[in-house]
Amino acid sequence: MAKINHDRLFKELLTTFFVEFIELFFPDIIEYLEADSLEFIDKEIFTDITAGARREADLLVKCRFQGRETFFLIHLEHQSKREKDFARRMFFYFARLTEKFALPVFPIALFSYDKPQTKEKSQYMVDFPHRKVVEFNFAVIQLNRLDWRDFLLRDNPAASALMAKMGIETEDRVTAKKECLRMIARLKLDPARAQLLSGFVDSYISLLEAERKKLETEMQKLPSKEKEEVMEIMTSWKEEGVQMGKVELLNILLKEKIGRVNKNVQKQINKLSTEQLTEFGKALFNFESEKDVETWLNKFPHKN
Amino acid sequence: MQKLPKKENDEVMEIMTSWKEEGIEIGVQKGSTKILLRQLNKRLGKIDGTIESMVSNLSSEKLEELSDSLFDFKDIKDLRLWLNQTLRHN
Repeated sequence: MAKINHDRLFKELLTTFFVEFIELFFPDIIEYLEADSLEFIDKEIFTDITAGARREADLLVKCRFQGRETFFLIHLEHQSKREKDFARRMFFYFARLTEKFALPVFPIALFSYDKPQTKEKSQYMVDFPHRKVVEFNFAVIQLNRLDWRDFLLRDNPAASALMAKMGIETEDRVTAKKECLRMIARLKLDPARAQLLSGFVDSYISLLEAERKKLETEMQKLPSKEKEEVMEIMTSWKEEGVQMGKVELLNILLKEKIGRVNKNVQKQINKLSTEQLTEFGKALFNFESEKDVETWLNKFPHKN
Repeated sequence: MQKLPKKENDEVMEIMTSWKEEGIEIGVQKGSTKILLRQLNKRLGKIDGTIESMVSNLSSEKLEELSDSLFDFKDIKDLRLWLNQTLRHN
């Protein structure tokens, strides 16, 4: 299994389904947030905020208060590892964001690691014997302390993916994965979004061979219409894989036949359609040099 | 060196899933079967449907063995013999 880039996967999920994430965990914010006012602030703009440690805040979104011309920021920080002094870091972000944007900041920390299940702090305090100088509070979503079953019927894209990172007992893994996929199918999203969600779920609930078989059996028991929709999600991935496998094979053969080809040629091969690949497979045995490959490829109109 | 991770960030994120991996295996298998059949056709003349389906159902290890033996076959009888032996051992 390829190594997962947790930060990118989460960022992609949270950016794509930001409002849905807020809806799921902070319905009170939705009451005063103007949904079409969201503006994601590029990380380049605020890398200078954390001097010293080369860190960037994860997600910063500028929102407008409903019916008003005033704005606020939502700072969402995702943590895939437990980290000492994290609360203090949240406070630093808060202070620096406040300084830079002069807007009220709503801080949220999302913890996605599996262990430990120890409750994360949601507060940073500077306290003297007779005076509390700072009491900084931030919102905490600690996925491993949430029960996926509580989200089963929420029908929310963020829920369908994040359930995969909640506390799931070993014996429930198959059921949990099935339920995540069922929810994704119910949401009726466009293929790209459905793939992002199902890709997220598959990355985090990765099943053993026996569990995979069990999942397939479970799928067969679904009502036919639903079964079809859930299977469609998996098939779309599989088809992508089949195409990749064919390209991979042809690349191996090509390398054996004429050695490594240059990057441009490689790029063009990767872009061939299924039919073109078949033709390429036939022509492959007649190639003697890279030039032959290029000549063959040039028969097709291509974009660079 | 420093530019590399940034460039990677600009590209569309590729997610690898267990389903995609399954598909890749199928793709490699299908592709090799097709190519092998074409080679067999070329060397031994027209191959009938029975043999074609026998070859199509070979595991990837057996396909590899077949591609190694391919050049030892003189005619279709040799192939038939090879297939019968291989399938009996299964």
